[in-house]
Amino acid sequence: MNPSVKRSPPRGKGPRVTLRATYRKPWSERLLEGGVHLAAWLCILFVVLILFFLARESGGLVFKDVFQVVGRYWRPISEPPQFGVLPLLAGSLLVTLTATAIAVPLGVGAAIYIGEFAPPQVREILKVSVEFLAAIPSVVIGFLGMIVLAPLVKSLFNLPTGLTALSASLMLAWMAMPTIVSLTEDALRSVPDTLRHGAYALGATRWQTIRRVLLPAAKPGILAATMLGVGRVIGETMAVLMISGNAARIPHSVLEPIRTLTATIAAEMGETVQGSDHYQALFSLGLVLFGITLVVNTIADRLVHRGETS
Amino acid sequence: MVMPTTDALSIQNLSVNFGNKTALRDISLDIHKGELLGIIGPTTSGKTTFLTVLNRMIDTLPDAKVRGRIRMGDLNLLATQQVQSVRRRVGMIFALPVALPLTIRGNVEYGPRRSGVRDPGILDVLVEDSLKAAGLWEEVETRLDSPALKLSGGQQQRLCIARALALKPEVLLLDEPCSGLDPLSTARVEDTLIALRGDVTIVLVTNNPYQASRVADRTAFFLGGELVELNDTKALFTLPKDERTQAYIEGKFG
Repeated sequence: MNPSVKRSPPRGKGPRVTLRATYRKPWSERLLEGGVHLAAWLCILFVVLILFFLARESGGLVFKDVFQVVGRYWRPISEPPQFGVLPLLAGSLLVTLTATAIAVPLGVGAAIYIGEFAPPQVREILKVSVEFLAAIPSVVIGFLGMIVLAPLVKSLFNLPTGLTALSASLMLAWMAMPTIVSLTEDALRSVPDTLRHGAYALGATRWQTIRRVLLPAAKPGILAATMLGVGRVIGETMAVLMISGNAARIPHSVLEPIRTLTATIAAEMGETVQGSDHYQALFSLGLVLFGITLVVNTIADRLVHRGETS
Repeated sequence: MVMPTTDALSIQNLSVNFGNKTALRDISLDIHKGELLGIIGPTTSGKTTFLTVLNRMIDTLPDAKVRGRIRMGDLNLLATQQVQSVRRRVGMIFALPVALPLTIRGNVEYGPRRSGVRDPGILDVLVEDSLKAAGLWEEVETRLDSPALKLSGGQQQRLCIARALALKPEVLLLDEPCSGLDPLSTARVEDTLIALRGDVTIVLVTNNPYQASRVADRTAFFLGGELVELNDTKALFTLPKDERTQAYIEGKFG
């Protein structure tokens, strides 16, 4: 029995009206629709507001001579102060790239093991552990870095201090790993079994199947995982503040202390007078960071969508 | 047709269990070299399981237990550790076409490359020959480097056949290859199979008895994991010996 046939009025009786005119959405539908609409627009509103406040508090210092994006020296309390962003930018980039270079191969490798090779019990244990890793507060990881990793790096490379870009990168890689592992594993899992069987049926070994079929098929997801991991690394503040050595100099190797954009803002914010040049300079750093994040996200989005359409 | 003299595969007392569920019970049959053997039967008759045993895809199912003997030439097919080599010699086509997320050329080259063929000249020849044999060459000749997933369902299925043929298999297993295709694509796939018969041994599992009657040299009827009847196709469809076979091909169940 077709219900739509049953419900329609008998021919010739009743007013003839189109369905569209008579159909009114119930109030609950409209409320829900309005609610999700609002939620979506609130997201955009918050982004715009953040940008607006950053711009207002920076007081246009970005455009003044004293604030130099390519300046080599960050000396906020010398006379006259110098606000050169380059050392901080270099610090952030160095740490981000190094951490990514460590975290992505490890994370993708772990995901392949968890998704494709591990027996069911081991897989469950590993997945829970990885999720637990994601829940550790960054301060705690910073502690661990200071107490365990920094002395190790110091003695291993025979350095004056173990608080270096390398130590920070290792800790950040560790923090980015859970994101990369979970999302890559999801991406691999979402590759249909038919593809695996198709490759096996052609005489491919397990590893050949992973390399030539699964990884390409899961590429958009893996890229997204990587970019989210990178996002976590760029934005991370507490751990790098504790273990990067806090030296606002342009680094020449990963074995030197560095300072990142985020750590600078966190460390110096408490010492500035509201509205002063230093204060405005820190907000300008925020703008720079905002710009970087925007660029990274845009690239990630493009990569992911390009992977989907091809 | 020349009567084949040797067997491509000789199956003796094959049984398969999944846990305590029996999927195949004591199957013995010989598959002649170059013949097109049709296998018909209702769902859960074990015909797909039978195919997966023949190229050891059954190994990917964790709780399957296989007993019996399968001989392919000198090879003890169920005992060998060279699973990849078995799968190269015995190709398999699935019910739903599975184009790998590569180009058309990449799909056909996939098997040969994994088995170590690197020479671009040889690969080009293989790609062309296989696509021609699968009856797809004219349709894709000009766009070998476009993504295979853009092909239609029927084209993808013939691509899968081409891909399997690129490995120069001795046996080709097809598991309901036309179940997702429209009649026209089905006809094209059937034409392909008929053209291949003789060069390659083909085992065609089908849900559609008429398909077997159209293309198969011999047809086997499976029911409940047992081989009920195996005979020349014409004989099986006109004078079935077992009344269950008769009931099935007349559409009384299944």
